[in-house]
Amino acid sequence: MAANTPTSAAKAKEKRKALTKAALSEIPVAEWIASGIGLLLVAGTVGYMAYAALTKKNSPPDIQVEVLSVRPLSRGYLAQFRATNHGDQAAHEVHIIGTLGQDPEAEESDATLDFLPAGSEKTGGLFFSTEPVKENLSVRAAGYQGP
Amino acid sequence: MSPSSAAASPQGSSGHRTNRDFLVGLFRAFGGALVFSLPLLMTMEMWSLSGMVEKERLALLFLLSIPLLVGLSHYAGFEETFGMLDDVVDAFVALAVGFVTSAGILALLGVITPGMAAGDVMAKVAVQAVPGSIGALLAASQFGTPEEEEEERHRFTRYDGELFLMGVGSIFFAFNLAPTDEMVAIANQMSEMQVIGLVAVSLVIMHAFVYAVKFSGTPETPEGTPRWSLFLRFTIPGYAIALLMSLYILWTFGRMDGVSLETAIGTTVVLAFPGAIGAASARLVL
Repeated sequence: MAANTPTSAAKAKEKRKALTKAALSEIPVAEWIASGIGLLLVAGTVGYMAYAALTKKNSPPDIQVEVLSVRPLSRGYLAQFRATNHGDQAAHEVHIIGTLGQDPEAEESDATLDFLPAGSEKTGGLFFSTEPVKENLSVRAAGYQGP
Repeated sequence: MSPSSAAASPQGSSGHRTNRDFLVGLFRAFGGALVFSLPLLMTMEMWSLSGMVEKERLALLFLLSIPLLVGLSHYAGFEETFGMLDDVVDAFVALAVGFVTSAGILALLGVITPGMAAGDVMAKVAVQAVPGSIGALLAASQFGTPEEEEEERHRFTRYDGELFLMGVGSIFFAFNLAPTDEMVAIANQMSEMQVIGLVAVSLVIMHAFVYAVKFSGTPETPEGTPRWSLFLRFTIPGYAIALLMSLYILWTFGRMDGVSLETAIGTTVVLAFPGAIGAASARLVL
């Protein structure tokens, strides 16, 4: 009220300010705490996605397959593997091939992973009739389908 | 809602309640259970879920649905005066209704058959009983008398009640969509910028709902309350709740196993879109 003739608009503004202040002062602290936690979560989500967008190189699927275990079954053997996609793009229909030994007649088994998103891993298994030995068994991704 | 509260409640203008009221309440509950659970009962991913997902997570989901139902009964149920015990009773009646509905429909549709392993059948029925019980509990709030609805509205206008209701709304929507393969697929075909855009769109739509509710003549928003304070106090926490509920449901259904942080966040945001609308509209619908 420093001005000697306050206009009616200024008066109305003052009044609105007072109302706002009163309304805000009645809000319990708990509500501000809840809003703070919420803000943190939302900001974290958006922030991480923005960070990912800025650092992404959009490299093609880079699938690494490692054998987790080999175990005997009632008939034959099971080799379980884990496939990890280190690339920036997702791969569909990832074809996994496992071979026992080097020679052309070596036993071969294959499996298909439905969908392997970027940076994600999935597990699967290959069946063999002869026992796979560590040195003998090689498992690799043979191919995939683009989006 | 519910049969038990209908039977136990001596308040209300008509004096004591009879067995007939109990039956009416029970039918209402079954109706609500059907409305809420049929879409999921007829979703193929939900049938195979019990075989694909760790049983512990399904058990945890089922256990957590009990406090959810007790809370829902507290906020949406008929009487506040009868306290905790009555809410617990209501919750278990709702759970029973959800269970019977789920088992009955799954058996009728040939999803569960006599030859199946008992554990598998239990898991299938129990997961599907959760949305059914939410429906059973809410059925009463939908069909209650005007006095009951008035009282209910008072309880919902409390801040904790409002956030709780948002949680229920988002978990229900998330529950319906999380089991499908589409959630992860959508997240993977979206760029990071599209995901951020989806966050913004979810917030805007949610705020429109909040705004519509807050300014439809409710006493708890005094004149002069600035809009940004509504956004911070209702829209933001509501959306955060939708995100958390989506994350929890996705984890329960095994959709978060072995995925990268980016895919996990993306999928959560995708699911939180319907979750946010569920959260925001719950206040209008109930």
